[in-house]
Amino acid sequence: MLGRTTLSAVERKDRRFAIFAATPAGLTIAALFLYPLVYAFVLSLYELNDKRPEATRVVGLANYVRLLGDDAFLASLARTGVFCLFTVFGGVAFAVGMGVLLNQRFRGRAVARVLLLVPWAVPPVVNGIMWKLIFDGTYGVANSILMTLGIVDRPVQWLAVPDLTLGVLIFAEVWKLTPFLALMTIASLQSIPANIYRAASIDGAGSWQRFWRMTLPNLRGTIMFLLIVQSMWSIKVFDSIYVLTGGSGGPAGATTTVNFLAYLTTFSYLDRGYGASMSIAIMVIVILVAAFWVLLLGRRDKETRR
Amino acid sequence: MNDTAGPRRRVDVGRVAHRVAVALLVVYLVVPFLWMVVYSVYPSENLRSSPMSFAPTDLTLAKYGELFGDSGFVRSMTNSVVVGVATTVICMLLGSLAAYSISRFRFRGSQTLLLAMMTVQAIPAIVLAVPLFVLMRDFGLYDSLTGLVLTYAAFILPLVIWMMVSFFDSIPVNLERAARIDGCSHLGVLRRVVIPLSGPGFAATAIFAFITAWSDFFLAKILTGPNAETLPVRTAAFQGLFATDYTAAATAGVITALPVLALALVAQRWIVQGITEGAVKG
Amino acid sequence: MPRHQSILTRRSLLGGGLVLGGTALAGCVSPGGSAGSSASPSALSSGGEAGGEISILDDNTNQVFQNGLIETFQEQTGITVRNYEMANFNDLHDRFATMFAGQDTSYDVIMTWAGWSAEFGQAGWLQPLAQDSLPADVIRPALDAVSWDDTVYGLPKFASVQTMFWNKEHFERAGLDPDAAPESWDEFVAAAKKLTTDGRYGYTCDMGNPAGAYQNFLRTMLLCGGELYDADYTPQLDSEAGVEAMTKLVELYRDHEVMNPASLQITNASDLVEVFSQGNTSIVFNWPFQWSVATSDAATTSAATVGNGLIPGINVRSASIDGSEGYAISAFSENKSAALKWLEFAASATSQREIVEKEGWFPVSQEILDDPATEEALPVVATYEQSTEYVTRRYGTPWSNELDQLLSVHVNRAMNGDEEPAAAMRASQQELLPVVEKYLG
Repeated sequence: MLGRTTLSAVERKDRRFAIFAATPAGLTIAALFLYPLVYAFVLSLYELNDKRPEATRVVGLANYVRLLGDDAFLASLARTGVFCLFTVFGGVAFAVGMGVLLNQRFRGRAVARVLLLVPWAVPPVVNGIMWKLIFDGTYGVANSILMTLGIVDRPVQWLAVPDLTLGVLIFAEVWKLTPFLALMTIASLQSIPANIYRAASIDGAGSWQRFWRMTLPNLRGTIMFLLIVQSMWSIKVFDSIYVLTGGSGGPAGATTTVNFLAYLTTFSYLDRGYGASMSIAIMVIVILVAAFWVLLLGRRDKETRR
Repeated sequence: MNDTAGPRRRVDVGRVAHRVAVALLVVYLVVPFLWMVVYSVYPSENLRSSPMSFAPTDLTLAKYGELFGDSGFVRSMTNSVVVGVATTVICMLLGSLAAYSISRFRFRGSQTLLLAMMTVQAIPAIVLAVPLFVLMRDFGLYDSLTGLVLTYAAFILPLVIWMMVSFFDSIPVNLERAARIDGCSHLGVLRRVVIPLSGPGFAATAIFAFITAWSDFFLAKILTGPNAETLPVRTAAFQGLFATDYTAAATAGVITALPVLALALVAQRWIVQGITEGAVKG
Repeated sequence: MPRHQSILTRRSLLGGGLVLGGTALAGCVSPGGSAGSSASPSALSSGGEAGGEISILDDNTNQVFQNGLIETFQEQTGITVRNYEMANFNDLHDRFATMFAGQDTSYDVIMTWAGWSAEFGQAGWLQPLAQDSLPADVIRPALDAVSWDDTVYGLPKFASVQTMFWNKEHFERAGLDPDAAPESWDEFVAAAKKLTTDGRYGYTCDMGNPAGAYQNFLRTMLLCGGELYDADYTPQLDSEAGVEAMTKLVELYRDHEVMNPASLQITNASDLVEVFSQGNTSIVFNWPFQWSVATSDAATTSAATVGNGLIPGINVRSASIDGSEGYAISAFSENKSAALKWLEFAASATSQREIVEKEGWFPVSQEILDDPATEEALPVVATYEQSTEYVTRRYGTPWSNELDQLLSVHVNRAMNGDEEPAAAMRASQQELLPVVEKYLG
C-alpha cells in the first residue's frame, strides 16, 4: 500500500474524480425531483382545493393535523396495514419458501428458476387485467374451476365483496412480486457455504433444524432487503388497484390503501393541498418502515461491508 | 438443504413431496399468464360459453393482426422500446459512474447521499404528477419521449446506484490498484476492470431498469398524450366506458409482457448470478 | 476510508445552496395562482370571426369526428384542427386535473359531462358561454350536462338517457308477452322472477364502481319519486324516497334474487351490454348505445328480439338518469372563438345526424330529433321522446366524485347485507352534508 504522506495529492485527484462521477446522476435526480418535491411540500402547507379557489390559503401544518383525525385516512392506513401484513410477511415468507424449494437439486431446476421470471416480467397494468379476467364474476375461469370441482355451486363475486376483493388484490400482488424476491433468496442461499450444512448433518441435525439454525440466520441480510423492498412496493401499490377495480378503490373502498386515497384526494376530489400532505405522510411512513427493518435486522450490516 | 440430501431412505417421502411442491409452484407461476395468452387467441364467445370451448379450429391471431395493424398501437410499442432502452442506457451510464464514486471513495456524506436517494424512492409518484407536468411543459417536453426518459431516469437512478454500489463493493480493490499504478485513469479502471468484473450484476441491474421503465403506468399516463403514449397506457385503455374489448386487452397484455419475458429469459443466467453477487448484501 | 475536510465544506456549501435554491423555488411555487387568474372570465358570445387552429381532447365514445366530421368542420369554417386526440374516458379526469392545475394551453376544446362541467366550471377552468347566444336548435334539457349553477360551460355533443331493454325471446320462453313491457316496479319484479331461470338472472345492472353505484341508486330514487337535493342543495339521501330506493335495490338482490350478483362488480356500461347481448340476462336499464351493440352481428340478440321501453317506476310511472356528454372550452385556450365554432358544429344537425345514425346516441338538435329518418335509424329514440314526460336528472355537482365514492361504500354494504338500507342512507347523508357545505358554504 502507498504511504500515508504521499496520499494527499492522489487523494485530491480521487476526490475530484469522485465528485465528477457522482454529479451527472445527482444532477438528473435533483433536476427532476427538487422542484416537484419542494412544490409538494409547499402544497401540503396550503388549504388548496381547486374547486374552491377562493378558499386557498396557507394553513401550515393543519393538513397534517387533519390527517390524524380523518377517519377515511386512518381506515385506509389500517387497510394498508392488512395488505402489508399479507404481502410483506406472507410474501417474504412465501418467497423464502420458494427459494428453499428451488435451491435443492432436482432435474429441471434451471427451468423452474427461469419460470420465476414470468410474473416479474408482467407489467402491473397487465397483471391487473389478467387477474380481472380470471376472477370476473360472470365469465372468470376461477369460478368455472371451482364450480367444476364442486367447491362452490354458484359463481363467487370476487370483485364485489370487500374482503374477497382485497384477497384478490393481495393474491395478484404476491403472484407478481414474490417470485423476484424468491430469486434473491436463491442467490443468497447459494452463497451459504455448503460445508456448514455438511457439518450439521454429521451432528445429526434434521432438515427442519438446519433450516432454523443455519439457513435462516444466514439469510438475515437478504430478508431485511426483501422486507424493505416489499414494504415499499406494498405501501405504494397503485397500478394493480387502478386496473383491477376499474379506477375506483374497490367495493366499499375495500382496496383503497393510503396511496390510493392520496390519488383519489388529489385527482378525483382535486383537494390537492390535503392530497399532498397525505403523500408526504406516506413518504415518511415508507422511510420509517425501511428504517425499522434496518434497525431490527441490520445490526450485522457493518460487518459484512468489506 | 444445499445439495446435501444424503443417500438416506427416508428422504424419498420428502423427495416426492418436494417434486409435488415444485410442480404446483410451476403451475402457479405460469398458468395465469398462459390463461391470458389463451384469452388472446380465442374468440371471446368461446370463453364465455359454458362449458368453455377450446376447439383448435377456433384458434385465431386476428387480434394480434388487428393490433399490429393499428398505427397508434404500433407507435406506442416503438415508444415503449425507445423509452425503455434510452432510460436503461442513461441509468447504467450515470448510475455506474455515481455508484463507483460512492463505492470507492466513500467521501463523507456518501452514505447520506445513498440514503437520500432511497428517500426519493419513497415518494409516491402521485404527488409529483402536477409539478412534473408543469416542469415538462415549461421545457417543451410534455408528451415527448425525452421528457419521459428523463423522468424515468430520475426515478430509477437511485435504485440502480444502490444496486451497483453493492456490486462494486464486492469487487476486490487490489485489481484496480494494480491498474491504477499501470497508469490507467479512474474512468479506464471503471470501464476495463470494474464493470467487466461486475458483468452479471451490471446486466441484472440494466434489466431491472428496463423493466421498471417499461412497466410504468401512472407517470406515462400523466406525462404523455397521443405522441409519446407507451404500451401500458395503451393497454389499460382497452377498458373503456362504452367499449371494453377484453380480448384486445389480453392481447395487448401479452404483447406488453412478451418482450420483457423474452429479455428476462435470455438474460436469466446473469440475473440470478448478478443478484447473487451483490444486491442482497446491501 | 480517508476523510476529506475540504469535501465536507464543499458539500455543506452545496447543501446550503440546495436549501437556498429550495427556498427560492418555494417562493416561486404558488399553488393558489392558477385559480385566481381565471376565477371569472367573462362569458363568451358566438357570432364573431374565427380562424386559426384548435386542438381537441375528446373521450373515445364517438368515432364520427375523426371519421370525416373534422374535415367537414375545417371546410365549413376554415379553422384547422391541429390535433384531435381521443383518450380513454377513464383516464381523462386525471389528465384534465393535471393540465388545468398546470394552466396548460395545449387544448382548446375538451370533452365534458355533468359532474365535470360542475367541477371544472366551479374551479374556473372552463370558459362560460353567453346564454343569449346559444344555438336555437339545441334541445334545452341537454344543456344540463354542460351547466352548473346557472352558468353554461359548453354545448352537448349527444344526449343520453337510460331506458329499459329486454330480451323478447327470454320473455316468450318464460310465458311473458314479449311486446308488453313491465310498466310498474311490481310487474318488473314479477317478470324478472319468471325470467330468472336456466342459470340466468332476470335483471343485471352495473354498480361495480362508484359512478355505477351512484347511477343505479339515483335512478331508483327518482323512480320512487324522490329528489336527491332540495332547492338549496340540501341532500335528501336519508329521505323516505332514499331509504325506499335502497330497500328496493337490496330486495331485488337479496330477497327476490332476480339481480345478477355480477351486477356488483360490473364497472361499466359496455360490460353490461355484453351480458345482455350474449343472452345472459333478460332485462337491463342502460344507455342508448346499447341498441346498436345489441343488434350488431356479434350479438346473439337482434333488432327483432330486443325490446325497448320506459323504465318501470315505483311511485311514479317512470323516471331516468341522464348521461349526456358535451364539449367545453378550456379557460386557458388561446383561440376561444374558434373553439366555440367547434362546439356549435358538434351540436349542429350535420354532426348530430351521424352520431344518431352511426353510433346510436340521442340527438341534441331539435331538427334531428323531429326528423322521421332519425327514428327509423334508431328506434329507441321513440322511447327517448316518451321519457321526456318524466323526470330525468343527473345532479352533476362539483362534489359528484366525493358523493359517488362515499355513496358507493354504503350501497355496497347494504347490497352485501352488512348494513340495513336505512342505516346506509343515514350514514351517507351524514357523510355528504359536510361535503356539500364545504363547496356551497
